Amino acid sequence: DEGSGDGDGSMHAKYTRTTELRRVEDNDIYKLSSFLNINDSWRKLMARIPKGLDAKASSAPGALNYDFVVRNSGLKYTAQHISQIDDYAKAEPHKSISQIMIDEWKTSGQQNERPTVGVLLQLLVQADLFSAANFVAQDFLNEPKPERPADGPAAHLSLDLSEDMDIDH
Amino acid sequence: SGTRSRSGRERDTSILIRNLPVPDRQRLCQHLDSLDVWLQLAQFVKLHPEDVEKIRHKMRLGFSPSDEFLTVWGGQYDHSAYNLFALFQKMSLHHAMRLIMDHVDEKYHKYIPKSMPTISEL
Repeated sequence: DEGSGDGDGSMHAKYTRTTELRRVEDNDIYKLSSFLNINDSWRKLMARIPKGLDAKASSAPGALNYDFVVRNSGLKYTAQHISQIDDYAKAEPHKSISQIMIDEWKTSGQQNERPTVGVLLQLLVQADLFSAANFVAQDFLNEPKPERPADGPAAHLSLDLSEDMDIDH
Repeated sequence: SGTRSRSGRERDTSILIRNLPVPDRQRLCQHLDSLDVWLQLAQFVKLHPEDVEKIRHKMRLGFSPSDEFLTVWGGQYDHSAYNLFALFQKMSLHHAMRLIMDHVDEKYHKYIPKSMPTISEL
């Protein structure tokens, strides 16, 4: 086993959960946005962003009580906002549409509302956007991949190892 | 006799669906499209209705529905070749299992049922 890197063997994370998205480097936002372009994932994220978030307080694992926040403060973006992103994207066809959305989100709101990496990760998991969530967890935070639900399209499937495959059909 | 983690689930080291080599993915999609099974696959994994509609819409535009299915289930949900292999097992899509067998651990190859070749395979 070849040793490499630090003596303690651990990799330092690029960002922490309380790092604001607007402090994340452009090339990392670009990589994130390429995941959010898959299957219009950015729309699913944008439609779920809550209003009135205390972002720093909600950044830690499990700290974002999504249903509670949405019930109390509502959602930040309407269908009209989402279609405005479509319009901006048509006006700037060279730009990634989900990057336009992230640019809008990361600079909006008062200081304590501005999204952090920790809030982003929890929202991605909440929205079942697991390619993006896995990328943020591992690449930004050096954390393990988030847990999957037991059911639904995000649930991992495993082989049934009990079948006797020597039976000829 | 593979090693099992304490949770009983083996570690998945297979590549992600979204990283399957293009020729392999194309060959697989051609096969799945010829069986017209995309909707059954989507229903089995419980894709959201809006995603099913999106696939149907793209199919009407001439795109491969199986390829769109893989883009959603693999691309958004980040599933692996092993997960896909397991899906095919549960749906008894044995030839599809064979088409991706190179991308799962050799120890799982014995789970592909022996079956009589179809006329088209002879």
